[in-house]
Amino acid sequence: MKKIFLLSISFIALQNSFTYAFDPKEAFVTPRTSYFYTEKDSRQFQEFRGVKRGFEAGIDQLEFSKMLGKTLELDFSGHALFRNNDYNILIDLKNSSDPSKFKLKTGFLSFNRYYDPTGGMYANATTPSYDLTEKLTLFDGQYFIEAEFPLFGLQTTTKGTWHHKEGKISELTWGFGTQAANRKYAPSFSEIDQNVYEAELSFKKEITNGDLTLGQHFIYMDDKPVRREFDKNTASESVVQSINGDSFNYAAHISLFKALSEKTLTTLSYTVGFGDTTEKENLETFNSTGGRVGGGTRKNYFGALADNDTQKHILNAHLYREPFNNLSMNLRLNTFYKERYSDSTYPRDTSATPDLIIDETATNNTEHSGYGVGEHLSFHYKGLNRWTPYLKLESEQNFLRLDEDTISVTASDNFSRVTDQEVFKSLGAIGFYSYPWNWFKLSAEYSLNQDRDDYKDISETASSSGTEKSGFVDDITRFSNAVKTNVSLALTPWLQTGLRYQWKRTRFAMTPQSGLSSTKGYSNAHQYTALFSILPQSEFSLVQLFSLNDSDTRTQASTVSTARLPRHQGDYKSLITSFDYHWSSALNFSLQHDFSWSNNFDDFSATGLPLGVDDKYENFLLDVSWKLKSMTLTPSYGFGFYRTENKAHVDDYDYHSAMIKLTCSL
Amino acid sequence: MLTSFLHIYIRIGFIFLFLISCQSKQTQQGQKVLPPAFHAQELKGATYVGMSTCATCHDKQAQHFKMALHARLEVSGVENTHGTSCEMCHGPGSLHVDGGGDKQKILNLKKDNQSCFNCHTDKKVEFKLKNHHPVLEGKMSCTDCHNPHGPDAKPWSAVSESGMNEACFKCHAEKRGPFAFEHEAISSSCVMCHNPHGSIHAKMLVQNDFDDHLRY
Repeated sequence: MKKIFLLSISFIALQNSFTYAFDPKEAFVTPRTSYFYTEKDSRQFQEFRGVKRGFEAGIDQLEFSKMLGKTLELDFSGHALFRNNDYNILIDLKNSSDPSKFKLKTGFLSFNRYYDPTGGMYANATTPSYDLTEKLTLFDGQYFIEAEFPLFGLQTTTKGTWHHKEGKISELTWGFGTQAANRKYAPSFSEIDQNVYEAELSFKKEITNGDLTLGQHFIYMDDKPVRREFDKNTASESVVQSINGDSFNYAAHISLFKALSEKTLTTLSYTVGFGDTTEKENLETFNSTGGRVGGGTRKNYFGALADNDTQKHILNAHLYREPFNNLSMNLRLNTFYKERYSDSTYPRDTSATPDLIIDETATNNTEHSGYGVGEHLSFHYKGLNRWTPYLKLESEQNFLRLDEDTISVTASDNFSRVTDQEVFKSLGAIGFYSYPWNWFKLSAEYSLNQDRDDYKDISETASSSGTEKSGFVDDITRFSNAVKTNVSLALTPWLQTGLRYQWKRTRFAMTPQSGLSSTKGYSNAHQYTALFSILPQSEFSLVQLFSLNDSDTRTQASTVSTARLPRHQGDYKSLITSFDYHWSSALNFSLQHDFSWSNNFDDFSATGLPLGVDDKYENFLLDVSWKLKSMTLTPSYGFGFYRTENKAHVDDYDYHSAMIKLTCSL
Repeated sequence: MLTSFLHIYIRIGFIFLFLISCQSKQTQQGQKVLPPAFHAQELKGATYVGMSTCATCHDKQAQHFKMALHARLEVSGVENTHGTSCEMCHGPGSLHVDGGGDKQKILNLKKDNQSCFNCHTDKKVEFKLKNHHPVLEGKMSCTDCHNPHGPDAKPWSAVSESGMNEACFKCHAEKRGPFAFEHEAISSSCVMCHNPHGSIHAKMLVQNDFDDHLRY
């Protein structure tokens, strides 16, 4: 269902580095037509660029404002490109002299999302065919209506939203299917049919030096995804997973803001929430000719049912204080309690040739509950000339208990356990912002972050057929150091440069079982971003961004000689250029260019697991705007390409585009 | 590859030289030093007015902003050249004030993210990568996930009111749950595995699938 609600037409201001986001008062309309020509993998082009190849027409922008009577002001903006379901329509109606007396906003936003149907496959798999032969397009549309008005002395805000998704998306996952008894990457896609309905209602009352807000939020979701896998060859099998789920979430919220003095501000809030999710699921296994297969470890579940209930209580407090002149302090506390109850059943057909008759049923009951406390303390000091230092400390402690009870189809496999999870997080950051001179801006920050998840086996009844204890590890730790710094130089009014540097190193450690040594891994990332901008005149600007990202991750698998998984590299470089020249009041040139490239491919053809992205990605667009009396004609030309290492993927493309826009005053 | 866009830049350079030689130059004598964003035509000639002036109309926002994460950006001694508080992002406000709150004379960041990118340049780079949220395409904006005026500009911290992943669940409702078996990483944050701005990896993963889990 793709209903288009044209209640209002709103036009987004063009993303133009020369004209910023002002609210224009004059009315205008900009019809547009464009053509995208592509070579090679046009579906990959559609995924990255978000537009279909070929011809497209529509309204790029339409805006106008109008007074309705003496006090009502109507603002109308819209954008509608039909072939890509690309709509953004907004009506804003308000009391022009005092918007708090009445405000109504309604709109519709939608677009298509395209996916390459070759997702999930690598060239070195046995079967060379990667194509799902499916058209993977997802329609994502959202309609909302929001009103604000006073009611019995309370400022009332009400909002309703309907979010609809429909279509097909690619999945990049390990397939359930097998190939020659080994699990392999299998291309898969999901059919999506999802509706989310939201309603919000809040009341705000002004009190002495503050305000009190009461709010409620309802969310209902109806979701029916079906995931399908593609048979890779005659030796493989595929699994179809279909889910019929609905969920309901409700939250009520009360918050109080009070200014105790000009230098002391407080907020206190409480949120209670309830959720209920029900999912029915079928998992069915097929051979390459579409026949059902079963038995052994093959999955054939019919009518699996999960029912989950949750509730949460959150108390949050914030104190802002200026204990001394120019010293600002923020103290925040957060505490929560949450619990979840889940019951699930797994009826399974175990026949070698499934006959859709349930042969066995397993059940699982889970209770997960606990509480947590979070603390935040930060300072910043403005009393120093041209220099503001700051300090931030945060910590969090969570205490959760997971109680699981599994009744298997075989009594000897029945299993129950209680696991306590203690999660401790801490963060410390120190930094400053400064302008040593008017033309020189400098900022820097150093931060430390540690997270530790500690699992404790409280009690368990292990299955008599196995010796495993808790399915969890003993503990997982992440420890990070990070530095970021930003330097900007404006040596002249028309030449400005900047350099931003970020470094982050994270150490991971996991202890599989108490008493054993930890496995360790680490990731290390450097990011350099340089900015260069020339503005010799207000009519001319040239801005260039260059970014170099150097990141690698080494895991425990790198020490295992047979695993052949050395460090993973995620390096890339990017160059972005934006050029605008306002030749005269009648002529303007605009150019956008971006180019990014990566070279991380390691050839592991023998294992069929090429690691690292290795590609080049470029886009170029030139606009010329020519003002003719009350109209502006803007022809555009663009081109670009994508190249990838062909052992990792087969998705190269080239494209050229031509576009004409005509802006007319109304 | 390198030569192809080198040719483009050379040609642009010639065009640029030709164009500027044909134009009478306007001098920049005495113009205050401002970040690139504020050289927009519409703010030409504007000067900074200070937060107290902003607060005469936007008193509630000014009051709440003291509690915001971005409040620490304020630096003393540069009020007239770089602005403080509101004007750091919304631009110099003198024309907006003189125009009685003229919306055409102030930067509206809900519609344009350029002011965010003036400081967060690395995020603009990430949005240009092939796997990214469609912010630069106008399908969403920075304020859909971030509240620049609030205490949680990043919506995930030990003291976030609404919880770590609520910003993600607004559009990805099917990930909210609850579920019978929950992925441990989600109880921390979606950003454990995904870079929400952009990534060279599919699904905006911070790494490809294998190493994402093998880190632990």
